Amino acid sequence: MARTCAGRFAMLEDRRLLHRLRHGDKDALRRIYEKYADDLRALAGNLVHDTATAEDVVQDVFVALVRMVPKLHLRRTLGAYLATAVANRARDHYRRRSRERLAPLEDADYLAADTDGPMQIVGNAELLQKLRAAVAQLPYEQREVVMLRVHTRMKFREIAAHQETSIKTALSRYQYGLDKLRSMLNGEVPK
Amino acid sequence: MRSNDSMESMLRKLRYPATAGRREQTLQNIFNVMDEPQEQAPAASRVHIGRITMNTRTTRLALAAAVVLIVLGGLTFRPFGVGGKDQWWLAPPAAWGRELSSALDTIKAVSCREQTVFTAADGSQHPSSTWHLFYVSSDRYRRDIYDGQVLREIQWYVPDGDGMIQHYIRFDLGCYGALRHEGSFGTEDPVERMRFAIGLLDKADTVLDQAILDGRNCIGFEIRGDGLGNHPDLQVLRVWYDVRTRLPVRMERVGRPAGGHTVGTPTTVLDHFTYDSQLPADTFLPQAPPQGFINAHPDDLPRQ
Repeated sequence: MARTCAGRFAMLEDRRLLHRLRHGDKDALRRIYEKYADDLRALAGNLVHDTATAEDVVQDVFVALVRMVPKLHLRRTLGAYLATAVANRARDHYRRRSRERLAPLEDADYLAADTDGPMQIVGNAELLQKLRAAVAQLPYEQREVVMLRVHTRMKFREIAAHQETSIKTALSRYQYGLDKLRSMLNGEVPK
Repeated sequence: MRSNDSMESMLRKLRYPATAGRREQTLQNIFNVMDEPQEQAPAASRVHIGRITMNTRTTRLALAAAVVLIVLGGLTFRPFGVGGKDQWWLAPPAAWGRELSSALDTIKAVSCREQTVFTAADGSQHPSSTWHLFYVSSDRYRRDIYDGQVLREIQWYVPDGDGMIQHYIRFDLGCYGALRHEGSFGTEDPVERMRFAIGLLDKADTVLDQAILDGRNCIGFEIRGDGLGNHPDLQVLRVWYDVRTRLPVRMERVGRPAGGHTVGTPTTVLDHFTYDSQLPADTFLPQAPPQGFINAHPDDLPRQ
């Protein structure tokens, strides 16, 4: 119940922010950016494997939002709309780059969650490095489902609509993706 | 049974944070777009067109007649629209799409082999040492995984509530167990892949020459580029159908070189299709593990 109320509150807040944005309120745009940009950057980064490109993708999506906002009539949450837009642009980027080799992994590109202590961050760094490499090896569609779900909490129904497939297939892609990651990490993820 | 929680928790830690300066720069770039003057749509001309087409009965009837002519004429004048019943693939794509889909609907079980072949830059081909045999029924699946000629693993997927239980026996590791899956076999399901291919057939840009495959007279279709829709991992899709039964005989999915461990361009081949009654009745029933095998997930086994 609390989660439902929080979700409704977030949607109402988004509607108010979009209304203000339509009237040119830059503070509203800043608030939307602060609310969603980190998750969108994580989504884009894990799909394109490049920090600079991830930031470019997020910027492009917000620029498109600004241009679209006078005509925008959301049929779902703003978060899902932005996540889908990021996934579409990341996919376009992936297509363009698909003949190139993946960029070498950069140690400094990711950080452990803020809740970890310094020792744990050091301890997790190697595992996160391996996990990131494993994510890069996932088939794109599985990777997309996993990242949309994990980083933006999109519903499987929304992910299925984005991938133009059934909910069943989206669920399967998710489960296969996690199973493959588990398998590639050879049981190193703590239980 | 294993939980997804720990893996999801680790994945959430894969962040791509931007520096404060970069974030501010991005926001400034977006603000600059807000300050640009907005382009005005040519609304006056749209209104004028609306008046021409909608405001008199004659023009409304003319518009309706034009739509009917376009629809009927479009079907009649299609280059594919000359086929007879024995050459169904020459009919309009929507028609043979329905034929193929109907044929798929009639099957109760199917098995096929899947193997990936890597084509190197010099044109040489390297088949993967690992290959699969898939068995699919209306609600159950089985996958046999081979390394060369050696059976490494059998997986059975059986319905369980809204999801499936995957039973497995790892002959190479001497273990067995079960995993809970949400949904079905998903992208691994050969029948789903066939339906996916049928959905794209109206985008086929090439009808391949007739060929004898697995002893059957086949007609093939090839789809490339934009026709493949939202599937960036795919470059080319080729499917051959039995001319008589209209059931798939071979499918080739040409992927993209992914870097890392792959050598050249991967092509996943589905072939050796067997339909329906030729499958033994116990195909989809999980077998008891051999004596001495332990109940454990491969990840949980002690490393050598």
